[in-house]
Amino acid sequence: MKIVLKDLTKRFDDAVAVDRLNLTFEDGELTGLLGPSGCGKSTTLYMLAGLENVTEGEIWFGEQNVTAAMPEERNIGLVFQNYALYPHMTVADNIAFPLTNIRNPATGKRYTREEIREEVQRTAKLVQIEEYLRRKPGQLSGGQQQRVAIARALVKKPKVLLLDEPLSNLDARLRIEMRQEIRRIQQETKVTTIFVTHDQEEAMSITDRIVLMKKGVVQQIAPAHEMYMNPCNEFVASFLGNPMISYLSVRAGEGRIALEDGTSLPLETGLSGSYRLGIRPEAWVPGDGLRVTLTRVEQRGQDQIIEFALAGQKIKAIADAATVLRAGDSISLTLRENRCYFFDEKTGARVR
Amino acid sequence: MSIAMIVFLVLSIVLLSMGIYGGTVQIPDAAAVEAGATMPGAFAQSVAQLRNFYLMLGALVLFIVVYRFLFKRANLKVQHLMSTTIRYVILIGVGVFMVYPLLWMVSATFKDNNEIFSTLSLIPSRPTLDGYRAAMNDYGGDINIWRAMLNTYKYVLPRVLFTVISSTITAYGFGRFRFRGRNALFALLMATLFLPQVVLNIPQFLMYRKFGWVDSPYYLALIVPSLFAQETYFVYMLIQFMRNIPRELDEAAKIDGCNIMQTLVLVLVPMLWPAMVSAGLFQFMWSSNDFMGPLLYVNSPARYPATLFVRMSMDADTGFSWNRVMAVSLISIVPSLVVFFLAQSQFMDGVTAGAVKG
Amino acid sequence: MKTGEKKKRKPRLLTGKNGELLVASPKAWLYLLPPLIIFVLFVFYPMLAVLRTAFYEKYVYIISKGTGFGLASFKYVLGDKTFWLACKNTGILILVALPATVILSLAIALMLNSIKQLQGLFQTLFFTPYVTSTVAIGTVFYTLFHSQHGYINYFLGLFGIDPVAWLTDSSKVIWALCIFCIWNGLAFKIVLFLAGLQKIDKKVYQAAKIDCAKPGKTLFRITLPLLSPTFFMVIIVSVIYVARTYNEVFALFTSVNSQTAGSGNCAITIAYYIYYYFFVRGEVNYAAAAAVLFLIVIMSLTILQRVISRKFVHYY
Repeated sequence: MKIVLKDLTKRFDDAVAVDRLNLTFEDGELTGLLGPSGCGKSTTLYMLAGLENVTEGEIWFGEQNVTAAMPEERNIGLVFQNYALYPHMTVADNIAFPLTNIRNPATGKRYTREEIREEVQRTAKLVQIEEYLRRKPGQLSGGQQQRVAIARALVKKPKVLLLDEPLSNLDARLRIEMRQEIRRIQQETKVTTIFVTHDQEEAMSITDRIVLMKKGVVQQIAPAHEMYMNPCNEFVASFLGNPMISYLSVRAGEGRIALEDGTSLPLETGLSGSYRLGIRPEAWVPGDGLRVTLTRVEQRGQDQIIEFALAGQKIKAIADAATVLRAGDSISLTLRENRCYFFDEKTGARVR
Repeated sequence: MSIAMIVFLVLSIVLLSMGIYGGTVQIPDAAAVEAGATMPGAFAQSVAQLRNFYLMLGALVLFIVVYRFLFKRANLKVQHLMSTTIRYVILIGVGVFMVYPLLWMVSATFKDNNEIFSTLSLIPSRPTLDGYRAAMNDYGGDINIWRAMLNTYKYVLPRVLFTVISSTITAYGFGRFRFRGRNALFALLMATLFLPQVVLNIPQFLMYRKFGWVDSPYYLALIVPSLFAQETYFVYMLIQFMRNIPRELDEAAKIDGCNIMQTLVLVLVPMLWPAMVSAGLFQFMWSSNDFMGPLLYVNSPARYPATLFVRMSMDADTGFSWNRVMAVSLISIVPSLVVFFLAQSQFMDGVTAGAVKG
Repeated sequence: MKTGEKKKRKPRLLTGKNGELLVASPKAWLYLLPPLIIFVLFVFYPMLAVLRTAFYEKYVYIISKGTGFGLASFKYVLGDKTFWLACKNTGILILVALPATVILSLAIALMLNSIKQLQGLFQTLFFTPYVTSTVAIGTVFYTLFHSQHGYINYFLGLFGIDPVAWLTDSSKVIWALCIFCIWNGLAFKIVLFLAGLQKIDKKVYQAAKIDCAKPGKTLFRITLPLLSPTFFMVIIVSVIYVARTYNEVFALFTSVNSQTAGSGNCAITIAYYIYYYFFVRGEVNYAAAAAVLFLIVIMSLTILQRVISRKFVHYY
């Protein structure tokens, strides 16, 4: 089901939570709505679900304008952040519940008990929760509860699957496992899926495309790799990537770049003027360029995060783990051009 | 339209027509009968008498049918508006029902004695302060309303204080400590929740009589039991509250050098404070409204608290004046009302705290 | 601790059921002992005393001495017409007034829960009957129930219903009592139900919407089952409370001149019966016998309810 948002706006009294969103979600895609708290991503999701009223704009599911439609008319599945399972029903009943309310699209009549049982079994198998069908939600772990929530959302074969920060209630290891599960389930069912998260790693790892929002406005829409490599502004560049990108105020001219204190950076460019230069941690490679003294070194096993100062600014870089570095060491570094970005000083927009 | 709706529609038409029919039936009065007019049949008579009833019921059913009809055809916003309006109307109706006796009481205090029974409006047509003046009556100098109020608080306030303190200590003992026989004792405590007070009154009365507490000037029979956590409801409520306070706080206090009592007073009480306040408020209300207790244990009129005084004012004179009774009743409940309005949220919290576990 | 200082006996540390650290302290007994002693004194001993008194055959009030041992008191009570009238009245209260109150208060709480503004105002309004003393409001209801001039009869008269002698006709008094008890009982239950409703996670309702559940279905398959622990608690507490109806009888029906609950004790309830025989007639042994019977009934009712609730309540 292709979803189109036209000028979607949501206002709460004076504050604009979502500002004229124009988005298209292709059929079968897994899209991530990413952004910091308060950026409007959850609000957008709830407007898509029909649980929030739309102030202005339209929502189209395929050929249908569903802007004014009630949640029960939209044929969607929603996985809440706290799962919102029915605590007094067994897992099987939880999953079966949607089927007791709708008509079987194949027969046009209500679902029979047999049909319900079959569907529940099928969906439980899909999310791998068959052994727990007789338990109640209170007896399940977080990850299991989430699978049940996903099963309940999927059992009626919705056109759209929405997930509201599905992984934030899980511990770190489970998070990684479950996000793969979500991806697997989505690929098996091929349902158009949109999920909301504030974790950039999560968004990058499983989505087909990311929609990055800030204060109700879309900053960039792109697949993960492209958004990482080609951020369109400072915000996007800062949001993705761990450790975060480091910034320097530079003056460019005559093919050279100089920092505030006059130091020259081992980078060439045709620009001239003052810019903010964003340097990804992995942009620094050993070589002849700058000699820096390390102020801090964190071991990560697979590599090291080193910190040093340039023109009074803290710069973080990633160094190979081959040689163990320590604070106080002095090393020579040079820059890789394709991981450095020039941003306009005032607007933050990407220049090069 | 569904079957149910058609049935309802038919029903409303039947009722309305019965009502209209009843309106047309003429029941001649006695003089006309003598002059030769015939009385209509028994059925017609009963319909005529109840015609308002039929009309109202018919109108109600018709309203329901029309409402459903409009509702199904309305869009979202209008539907929401309709259902919300109905809900508010019903809730306001219920509110009036609940508050009406109180309003009646207030208005009756300002009415003339005859007016109370003759008119039914809430606004007195000739407002007077007669009721209040009569309420100031003191029965042979022994007792008047102010004295009665004072008497009430002579035992209510100590009772509240003691209940809160003793219940907290008892709850502390049960909630935070493990000791032999704790479970059995706790079960016993809970069992007394179900014990009707009236059953215990008999031997307690005899016992207190032996102690000489009956009709004591210090209301001993009413106060002393509260020193020892007699109201198990509050102990239960406080234990529930305490369950929500993590035990780590106790341990942290112990590490900081507190002994058991200090832990209670310095650490737990501040956190338990809302529950304690609720318990105190409830006990205040229960005690001020307590009728049975004073009835049993206070005999001399000079010591009557407000509830007994209200009763007394009802019977003391023949042909008693209702506006006086109303005035006395109203004055007696004013403190409770004031306390309630000032501390509403604590009251509600206290009720729900006892309802935390099924 | 300095040397020479008396060593405090270290409290034993235990691991509790949930793995938490508990303190097993003999000192706990110290804090519980006073209330416990008094508890025994004020509750236990009286309980036993009641039992003893019930088995007396004759009891002289003034010297507090009873004679005889046997079931004579019980026989008298069980043969007493008034006792059975009291049972019948109390029974009607439990079987009619109580369900009516519970259902009404549940409906009101459901409605209250669904509106957004003014919830607090309505809550306060609905709780007001609880705050007013029964005796005081009883005087008001006395006037409202009056056969000729009472508001209620006037209201009924508007619909052509003949005036009902609420307080004087012995077959009607129980209904007056019912109405008064319902009015009195709504307040507390509404607040309890409301609290139970608000404990339900709001997201569950949203999930039900997404699951295409109609409002009626949501009410019966989700809201009410989730409310069932509160529901049964309310019922248990209310049954016990209603069984003890006493103040309402006193307020509506008695006066200094006549201590009977209405003419010929027609509005008597069990609690009032006990009071009447004890305080008014001084026949303590009969009162005690009635009290013992009452206690047995209450206990069995409570146990019955516990059993039923285990079957019906959806614990989660």
